[in-house]
Amino acid sequence: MKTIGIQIKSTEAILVVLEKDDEGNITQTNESAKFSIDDPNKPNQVRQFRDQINAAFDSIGAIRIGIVARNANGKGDRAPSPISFKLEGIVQLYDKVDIEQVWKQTTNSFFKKNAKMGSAKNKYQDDAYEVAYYLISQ
Amino acid sequence: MVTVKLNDEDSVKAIQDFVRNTPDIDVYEYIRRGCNGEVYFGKRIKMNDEVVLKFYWSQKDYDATEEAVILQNIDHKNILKIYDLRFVPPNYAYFLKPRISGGDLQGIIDSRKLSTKESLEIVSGVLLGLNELHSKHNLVHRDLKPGNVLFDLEKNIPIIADIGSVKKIHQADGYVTASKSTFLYLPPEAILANEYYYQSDIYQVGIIMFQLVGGYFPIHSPIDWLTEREKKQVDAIRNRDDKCRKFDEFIGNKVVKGQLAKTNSLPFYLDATFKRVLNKALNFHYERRYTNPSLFLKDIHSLLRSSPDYVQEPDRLLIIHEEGKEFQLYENSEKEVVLEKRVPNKGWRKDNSHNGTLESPLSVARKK
Repeated sequence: MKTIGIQIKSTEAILVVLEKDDEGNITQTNESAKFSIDDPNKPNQVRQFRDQINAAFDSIGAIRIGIVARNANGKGDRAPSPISFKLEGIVQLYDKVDIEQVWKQTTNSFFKKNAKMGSAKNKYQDDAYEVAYYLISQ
Repeated sequence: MVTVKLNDEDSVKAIQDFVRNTPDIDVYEYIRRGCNGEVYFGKRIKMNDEVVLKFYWSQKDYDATEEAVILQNIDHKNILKIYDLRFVPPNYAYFLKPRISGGDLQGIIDSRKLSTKESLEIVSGVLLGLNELHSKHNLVHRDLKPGNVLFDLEKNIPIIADIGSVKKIHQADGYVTASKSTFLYLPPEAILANEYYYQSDIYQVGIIMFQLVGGYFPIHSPIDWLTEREKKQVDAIRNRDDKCRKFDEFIGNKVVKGQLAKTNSLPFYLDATFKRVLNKALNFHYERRYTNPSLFLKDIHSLLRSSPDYVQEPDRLLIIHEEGKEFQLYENSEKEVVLEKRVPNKGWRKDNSHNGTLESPLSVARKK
């Protein structure tokens, strides 16, 4: 059983894929990857991003996919990049599994009550890892 | 039905009878394809579209096999649609497919030099089709090569065809036996152990990419792969079958040693990232290749974004950037390397910001 956690940061989407075996062990697979876009105004790049994300989701075959929710009304330093919402929209268009929005507060409170086994292979994957872990543990 | 003389006497009786008894298709042409099966062209009367009727040798009741049932349900823009699939006694599988306008990729490679952008766009399309076969249907193609990829000129997309040798893999890390149909495209694990994995298809797409971007792959004269010593050894054998076996043995050794598709034979203008992508796709160890087509696709798209388009013409190399800036690189009558630059709506102007070596003007031209 696999889940995908996604964090979108400015022009890239960080995907972490976790797999749970029959004994309940959770491991991060080497399908985890970063998908980026250089120029979100170029239609061919937007289409490429869509194709990459859809192909990755199809290949992985996850039962749940979650995305780190961001506050669209955040101001100043907390304001999310508008490009990130464009990427999020493309990710959400995937129609074989519903893309769930998972708030940071939800994962924080989950990990207060449940111990997290292991950690992301790379530091930059931490938030996406937590979403994937939260989804696979439920 | 048949309204013209087909000259298909070379075809077997069962197939001849079958095409003459298809009331909804007007069959008008026959092409003998030898071991690749029998091929007829026709027109569906009600739909008014061009179709191909292809017959392969097959096991009994092939149309009832799991693969055949899956094949009929595949609907993807980069995989050739199968309108009908039936078993024709005593031992033929009949495939009815649309006729595609642009021919196959091998024909395109033979007729002209593709630009790197065209090549990478084609590889992207092939990978999207392959992703559908792998992830949605758990199928491996087993015979991917330019001759089995068609190009639709109307939609400008590649289409994976000849899916008669597909096999279902039942476990994620499982394998099936290799198809022996096209020896030159077999990956090392197929030659050494007759094992074929999902990543074996990745290897075959790697070879397609290698050919498209201009790597040395003398498909029409495979003897050219052999050294003079090897050629002499093959020539010295009189028996034809033994000769073929020896040749296959030499080629098999080269595949295993990674000497069939050598990345150092790639055109000089391709930068190291092309080699890195190809080396990963063509890795000897199938576990070290791209895990799935989507990760390969990601790197292909990255190449498309980061590299300009290279168009090799007989007398010059054109380097075209997305925003319209162009460079041309050629040798003048004094054998000096000349670099010229052109921006949209302006003429060519010499660019002397290089030291005259080949690498220096290339690095100037590559910059965005």
